[in-house]
Amino acid sequence: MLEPDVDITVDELVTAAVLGTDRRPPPEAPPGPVHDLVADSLLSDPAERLLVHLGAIAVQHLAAAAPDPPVAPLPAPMVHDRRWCPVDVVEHWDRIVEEFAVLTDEWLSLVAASPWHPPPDLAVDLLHRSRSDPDRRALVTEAVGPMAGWLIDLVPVLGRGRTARAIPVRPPPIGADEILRIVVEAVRISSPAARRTTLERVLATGAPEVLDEVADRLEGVVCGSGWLATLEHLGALARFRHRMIRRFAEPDR
Amino acid sequence: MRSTTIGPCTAESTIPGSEHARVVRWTDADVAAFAPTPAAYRSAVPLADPTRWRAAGADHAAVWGRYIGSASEPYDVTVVHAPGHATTARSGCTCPSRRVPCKHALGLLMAWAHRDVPDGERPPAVARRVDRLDAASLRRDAAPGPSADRRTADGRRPSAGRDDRMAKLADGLDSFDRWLLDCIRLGLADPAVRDPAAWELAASRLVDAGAGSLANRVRRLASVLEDQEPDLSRLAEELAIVHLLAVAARRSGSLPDGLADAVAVATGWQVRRTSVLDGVPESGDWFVVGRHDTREDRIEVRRTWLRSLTDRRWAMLLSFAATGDGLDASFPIGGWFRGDVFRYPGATYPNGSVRALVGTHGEVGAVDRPVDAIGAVDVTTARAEVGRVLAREPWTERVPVVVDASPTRAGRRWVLSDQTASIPLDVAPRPLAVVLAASQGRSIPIMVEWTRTGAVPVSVIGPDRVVDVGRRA
Repeated sequence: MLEPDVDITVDELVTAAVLGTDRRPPPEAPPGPVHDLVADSLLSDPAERLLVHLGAIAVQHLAAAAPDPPVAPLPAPMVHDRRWCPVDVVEHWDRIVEEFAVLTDEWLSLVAASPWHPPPDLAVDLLHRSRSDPDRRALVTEAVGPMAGWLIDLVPVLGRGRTARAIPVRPPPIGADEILRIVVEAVRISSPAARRTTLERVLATGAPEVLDEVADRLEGVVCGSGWLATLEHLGALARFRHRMIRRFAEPDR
Repeated sequence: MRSTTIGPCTAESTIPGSEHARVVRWTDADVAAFAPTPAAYRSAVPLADPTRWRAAGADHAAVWGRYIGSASEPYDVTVVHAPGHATTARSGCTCPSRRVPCKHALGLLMAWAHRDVPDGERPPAVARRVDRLDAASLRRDAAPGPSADRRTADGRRPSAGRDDRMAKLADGLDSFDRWLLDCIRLGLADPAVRDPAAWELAASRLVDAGAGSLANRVRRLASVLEDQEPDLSRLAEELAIVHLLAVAARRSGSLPDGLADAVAVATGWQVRRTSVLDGVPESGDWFVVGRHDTREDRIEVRRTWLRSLTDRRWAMLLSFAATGDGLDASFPIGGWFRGDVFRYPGATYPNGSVRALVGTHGEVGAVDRPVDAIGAVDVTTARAEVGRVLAREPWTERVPVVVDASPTRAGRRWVLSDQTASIPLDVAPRPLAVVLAASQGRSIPIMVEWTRTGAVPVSVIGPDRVVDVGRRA
């Protein structure tokens, strides 16, 4: 915002530019540096004088020659001492999005129970993506913390979402033998995609302490090529999940 | 570092085996300029249908074809074109119309502009028609044309040296400024001034004159006019800056070297990459602070902002890619490297412009020192930094600064504020949300591009990383 008399002059200049200097002569600049600049140009053509005058004002605008006064900061969301997730924890999330989507809810629950919250860009992404999924939204809100509601109030496009339900309850963990029994029985599922999804869900509910053992046993299975890729993926999922859970158990590492 | 240089927006192709290899295709705006009246142009539009043309072709100097219409006999059409110069083109057609150029010639040129006429070898019959048109033109024109259009005895165009380029640029800027002043005299509300074709023609002529960057600014202004409620204040101010550049470029001989270079580059003078890399580098540690992508026509443009960890000078890397090809990601945000930075000619710093190239450099690694080493300042100090840049290059459209401030609301506007002052934010909802999430009501270091419409956030400098909020193309 410039000084008021400069603002008025800008309006008159723009009006002259819109109507044409043949019809409306441009105004004189009020005394000051801009007036001197235009006068020093020694231009007689009103169109040229107008452009010099406007050019000086354009530069003043860009430089915020008369910046606006300070504005009070926004009231902060509830005070908390949660920090941004460490970079390696965010990298876990990236891998989950890319390969192991079945672990999404668990990762969010682990964050909610940790001394961290998602960094700003991830927090905004999570809120935006979950706006039409009440179960996921509940988990995201817990993970993001008190900032979630504050952000949604300030930036409505993040979506108020459908009413969040209670946090989904995780099923009880199952042991290694049960996991492997289900893997063997899964051979009856004819669709490879459905088979893989079923087994991913099983591994996502396995007890953390057996995951490495399960991965070892899966990787030792001799099987046809149709199963090989699935078992490799499941082994990778098991190990990754184990690493992820251990990381959250050691927040100060 | 992978980067691509773009030049003026002409459509060119090469005819194998031809001594005059470069065909500079006309645009619709060129055809419109060649038409005797707007009505003649409009009447020719249906004739641009490629299914109406047989044996059509084009080379560096002529376009030809046979028009199949409702008449019993087809019409043979020939146009001798001077690349980009609609005022010196000549046409001939076997139709009975006395109008020159007739609608068949205009229709053929439109089809050519739309790439419906292939490049090819000129058939003997067409060559004879071209000779007749040339001879007729020589009889009409007593004085030779500008040096850029003069040909040698064997029909070659003399190679354009630097002096010729400068003269062509000066002519083009002169012509453009006269047009601009006419617009101001007539008024921005005048229908003739508001006509998008007039702006496109002005931009095309600037491109032909070698002022591609200025042409891009003119095209961006033209898009403002197309809005339902154009921001006339912004348009008028931008026109004033464009006028400033045009005048400065014409007087560059009397400017100090650094300023003359800055004007030349801002106007569109092409500086070879090898020339830049031949200069004296700034060697040191550089922090990759942010990036901002935009799209201009079908080209995506990435600005990557570097800041010296030694003296906090800024450097901007420009890279380009056709839509979908993927922009250069050699310098990830939040990384740092030790290397040489070479600046383009300019006046922002004693040794050149903010635009730069990276030469030899080490691996880009995660930053290993406090990120506040890049130096955030309050709003008032940032304003002073911006003012210093503008004092040297007043046509600058955006100035990088790192401001320690908090996003907050002043009425319905979003601003960045600290205890000294506030500036408006120009930000879309998602990056705003990220900045708010980082701030949570507190001041934080934010890298912004300071523009006329407000501060555009590019990145947030966190305690242990940089969060990218720059725009994506």
